Amino acid sequence: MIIGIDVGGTNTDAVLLHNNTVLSKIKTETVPHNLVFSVTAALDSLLEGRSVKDIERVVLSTTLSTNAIVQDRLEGAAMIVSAGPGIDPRHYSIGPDYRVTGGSIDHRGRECEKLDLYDIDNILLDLDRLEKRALGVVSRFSVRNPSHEMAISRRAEKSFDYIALGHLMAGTLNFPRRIATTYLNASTHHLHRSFVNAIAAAFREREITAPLFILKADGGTMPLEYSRNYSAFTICSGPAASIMGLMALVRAERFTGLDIGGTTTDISLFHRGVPLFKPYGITIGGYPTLIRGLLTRSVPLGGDSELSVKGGKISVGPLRKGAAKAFGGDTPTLTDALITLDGKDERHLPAARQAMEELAALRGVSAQEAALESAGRAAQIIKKEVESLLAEVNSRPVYTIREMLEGEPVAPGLVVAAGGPSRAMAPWLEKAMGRPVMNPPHSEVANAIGAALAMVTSELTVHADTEEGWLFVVEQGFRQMIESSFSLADAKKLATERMKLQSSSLMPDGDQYEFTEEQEFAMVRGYYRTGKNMRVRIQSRPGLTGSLREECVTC
Amino acid sequence: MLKAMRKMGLIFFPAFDWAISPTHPEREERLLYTQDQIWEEGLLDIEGIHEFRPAVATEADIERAHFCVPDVAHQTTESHMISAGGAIKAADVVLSREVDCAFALVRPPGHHAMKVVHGNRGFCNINIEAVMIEHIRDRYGINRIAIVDTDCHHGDGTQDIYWYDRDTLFISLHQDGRTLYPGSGFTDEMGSIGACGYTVNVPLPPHTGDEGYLHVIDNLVMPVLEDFKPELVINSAGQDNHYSDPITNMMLSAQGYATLNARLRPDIAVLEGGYSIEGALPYVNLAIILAMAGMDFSSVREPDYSLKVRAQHPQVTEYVKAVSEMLLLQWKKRDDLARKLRKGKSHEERQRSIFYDTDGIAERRHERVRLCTKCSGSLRIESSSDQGINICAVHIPRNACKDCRSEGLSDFARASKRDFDWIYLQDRSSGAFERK
Repeated sequence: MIIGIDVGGTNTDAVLLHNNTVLSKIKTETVPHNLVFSVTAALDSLLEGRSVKDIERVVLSTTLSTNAIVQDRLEGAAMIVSAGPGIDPRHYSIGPDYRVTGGSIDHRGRECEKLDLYDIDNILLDLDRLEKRALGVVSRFSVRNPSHEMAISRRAEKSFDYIALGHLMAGTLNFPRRIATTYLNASTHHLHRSFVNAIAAAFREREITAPLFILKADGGTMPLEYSRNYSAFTICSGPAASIMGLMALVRAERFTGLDIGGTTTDISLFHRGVPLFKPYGITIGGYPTLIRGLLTRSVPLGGDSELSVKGGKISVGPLRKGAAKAFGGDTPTLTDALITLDGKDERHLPAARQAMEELAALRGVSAQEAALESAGRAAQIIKKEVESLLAEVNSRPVYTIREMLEGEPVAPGLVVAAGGPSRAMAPWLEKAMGRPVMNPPHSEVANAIGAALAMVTSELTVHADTEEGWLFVVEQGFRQMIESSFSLADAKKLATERMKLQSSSLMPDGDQYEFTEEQEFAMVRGYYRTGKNMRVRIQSRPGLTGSLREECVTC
Repeated sequence: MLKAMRKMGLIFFPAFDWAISPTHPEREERLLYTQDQIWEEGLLDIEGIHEFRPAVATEADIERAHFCVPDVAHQTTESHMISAGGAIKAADVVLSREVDCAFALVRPPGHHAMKVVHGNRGFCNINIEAVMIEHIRDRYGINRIAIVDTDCHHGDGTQDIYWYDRDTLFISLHQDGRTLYPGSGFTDEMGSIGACGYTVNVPLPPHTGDEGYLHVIDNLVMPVLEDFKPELVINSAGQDNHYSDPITNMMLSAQGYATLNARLRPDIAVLEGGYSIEGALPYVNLAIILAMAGMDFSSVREPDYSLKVRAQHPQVTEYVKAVSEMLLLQWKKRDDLARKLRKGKSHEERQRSIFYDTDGIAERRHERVRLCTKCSGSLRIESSSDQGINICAVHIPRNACKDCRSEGLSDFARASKRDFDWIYLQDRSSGAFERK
């Protein structure tokens, strides 16, 4: 048995799967200030009458860190940043105690200016007085050479309970995002750690020995224990859960996912059987980060979107003023239109039709016509947004001639809709988009299914420079001397081996790894080759341990 | 949070899979460290800085600016089409007002490519600025354009293409041709009689630094631009006058580049040369992008700046002052000079020898242009290369008057395949391009 629990802002969804079928599913309200309780309550009700010994694994997805950021309840870690020449790092000031010190490293990882240890000690003395518990340390180009971050960290060890280092957050170049990511990781650390401790205790209490995982924004998981140092990676895992759920319910090479909720519709794109990533990293609370996340576009259109008449036409949204009239609200909504068109929900039909009649009077048409126009308009809005997202994805810059000329464009494929109003919207979407729209069963708990079936993901960046004579596996902070004969093939082999090192039972096999970057540049100085500069990035693609496609109607 | 004061477009195409040859300065590695710097600085996250994917130029785009021998396909690779397409994209995003200014950070470069193309010279096959400018003229109807070429080498290709065009002001600041490739760009190269003065060459002595460059910008370039009143200013932004460049001898720094750019305020900048790929390009490009976006660039400095940069020698300063002064005077007297030269002539002719250093081709060229007061005059070029190819090319300008156009058409009709391997007609007034 596999258990997936997604603790969202409003609802907690949970599923219990066995042999890729849903044995049990529940949807309850989240208890806002006690997420641990939300998890255990869902768990207990799923396990009623079942033996904990049969559990293979439990995967959680929570909004704990996300909410702390969005609601501005962060611990506010101290930051020490070292930059050197370039854009002034003071522009990236974040949190209440942001300090800049000297020292500089260049793009090759060479030290251009030494750290000012005296200055650092002064900063630490000052921070000591503030009794900070968490610290983030970031230096420019630390993903090429982490020695400055490590030196600062060693000096700060005694003063802090937790220190987050920039280069361990991600191997990608982007100093401002590295600063924000490190800050968020340090500032959510203690909150996340107490959650992990409480969950671990609750599971011990129930004598559950199955491994525990937590979902990340990239649609993969990490072991709960491992997540202690990477709390930032759990940010925005909610949308990722839904996207992975759609992937579990549909197995198609390319499709467009629509998660139609009460307030918003989230669009996702699947290419070559996997969801697309955001180009750089997620942005949360106004901070662009290096946290790898799945691509979604949120459109302010859902079942509760207000219907109004503007300029002689019915418009849908973008405001949501409350529930549908059919459910006791005050304004006509898309849901009212859909119930009217469907005509089968006898309990809610009168109120819904009433809403349509009010709207129709303003527009000078019949209630049925107003409902038709509303549904059609909503479908048009979604269609336009899907098109614009596709255009955006397909116009992303590329840097080689091969990619420029041969890159396969992302196409919409079939449309998979989940969420409350999705079934009623399907025919209108089909008409607007001119493609088949399907509603897989269990799509109302797609997020919990996605969490349950997600595999461990990870990513490694290897940077090798034979002229300087070293290589660096950034995310592992692993540096090694290399010979001048070291080749791109060697770099790829090493990357694969280092990936396996951090493997766990849910880590995909080697053949699930893919190289997202493999470049080798001959370095020429004064007309002679002096070495090679190699950049390799390996990742395990977001994937599923199984799928529910057997139950799927049309695939 | 950082914000660009001027909305800026960046077209970045490092062509990581293209090189002239493995150890050539124009190789895959060239923009690698620039990319590292741009990414590490998070420039693309700054509000108001937008990155665009280049377009791919078409043969028709190239044929507006060049006569490729025997045809476009023989002279270009995909890389040239994308590089030219990058410049075109930069123009499009500026002229459609998506952004206020744009920088095409693309390779390979183009400013040594002339009107007739037999091969590669000075690392260039296709003049990406000229291809862009002719695209702008056709698409947006903009006529008066100024090109300020700050590459360390004389922009002899761009000069050649616009030699007869008084709507295109070409100003080149470069290391004196007596000391550097391509050995041209002297003050007396001022354009044809019909466009006399609209080519301004500023040869600078070796070891000219920030001070000298900025002096020329303030005391020559800006007054001339003010006078010319261009609708669009384009900067051919070569970065090989940096103090660390391996193939030149100038002393410009990243701060100097950025200040120059901030004063010039080009609408579009296009990368040209620059081969100090580690010591200069990352810092210079960062500084230029910040300057174009109207942002603070004062903290951008090369790591070895304090070790390497010395004040400009007073002798250099004096020389630069004198050259600027002389050229400004020359600019002001351009019409008198043109009148003197024109007297009693119906046509102007010139004979040229052109060497293609990269491909080792020697070209001999004869040009004959109709001197016309109404338009730029139709141009007939005979060109032969030591590869044994003879061509005749006729160019009819955009603004051609009736007489010039009919002379051009009859030149094309009269030229015989018995005398030439190929005969071309580039009729910019109708947009037609023909080869027989």
